[in-house]
Amino acid sequence: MEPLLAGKLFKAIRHDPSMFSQVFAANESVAWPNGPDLCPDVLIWGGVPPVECTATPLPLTNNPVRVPLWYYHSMETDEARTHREIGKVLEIVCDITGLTSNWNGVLMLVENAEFRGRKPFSCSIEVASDLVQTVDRWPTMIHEALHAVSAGYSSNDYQAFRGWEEGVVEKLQRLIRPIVISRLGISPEESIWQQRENLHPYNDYIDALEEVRKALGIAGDGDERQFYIRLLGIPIKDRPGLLLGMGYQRDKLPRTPFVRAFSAASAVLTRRPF
Amino acid sequence: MSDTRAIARQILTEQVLDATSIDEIHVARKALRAWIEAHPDEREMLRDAFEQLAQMEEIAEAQTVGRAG
Repeated sequence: MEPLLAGKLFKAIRHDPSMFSQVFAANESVAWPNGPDLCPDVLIWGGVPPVECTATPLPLTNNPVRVPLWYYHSMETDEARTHREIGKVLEIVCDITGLTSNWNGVLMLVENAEFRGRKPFSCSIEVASDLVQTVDRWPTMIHEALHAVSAGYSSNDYQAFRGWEEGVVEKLQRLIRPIVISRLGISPEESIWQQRENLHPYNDYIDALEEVRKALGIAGDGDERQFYIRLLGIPIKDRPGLLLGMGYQRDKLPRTPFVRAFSAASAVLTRRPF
Repeated sequence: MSDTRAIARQILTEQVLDATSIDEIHVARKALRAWIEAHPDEREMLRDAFEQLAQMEEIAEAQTVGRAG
């Protein structure tokens, strides 16, 4: 990009790599400390903008100005970046669960949101705007991505069986998070999220589901993950029936402890007194 | 952390998870805000409770509109 750095103003930047490397994104273009910057048009047109407004910019591949990828990423709005990140998370979640996404591609960053994230029944995704610059966004994105692949995610089912949705989704978020994070190539400490999860409001749901899983004799590790993926893959309203059926189909399973665990869990998960 | 605080938090959580009508949701949200104001160290841990309240509010509002229409 040397030809674009003409004149006295850019002299030091042109000759001193350490000064050049202090470049930062600003005002839809690039700038350097102490004032020098490039007009956005210069980057778009590869020089002075044409007089005719019908002209089209050079394709990026042929553009003589080799603008590096980091530049485009640094120019992204929070919304565009979060959209790209959610897309990537969703791709990984679909791969792990084998389920299909019903996200409609619409992402809304909500100012002053009290929630971290939510998935309205219109199939968009909403994320609190204060979250998107923080490491806290990853568990939220995975959580919302799991809602996006949840079978039969409808308001009627959610209202009647909300614990069967939020409990399954939050537990699965915790189980698959290390895999998703690893595939994203980022390396935050798991402990920063684990501490927050100690008092998580959905722990009641998760504890109830875990009681049933243990009563069914399903072990931890991979089996545990498959247990929750299987639940996520059927409509919310059918999840209690699936577990009840599993309990009755297991020949060697002590029936009474299972029924007790299931009944107690069901009361918590559907928010109806036992 | 005292047992009393843990019990009070459990009652609050139940109130949030049980809220279904618009009134119950508003009351639960107020209680949650008050709790977080009194215990700012728990804000990040309890913030996800607002998710279910928002979901239930969307459902309750749709039902109210449906009844009115």
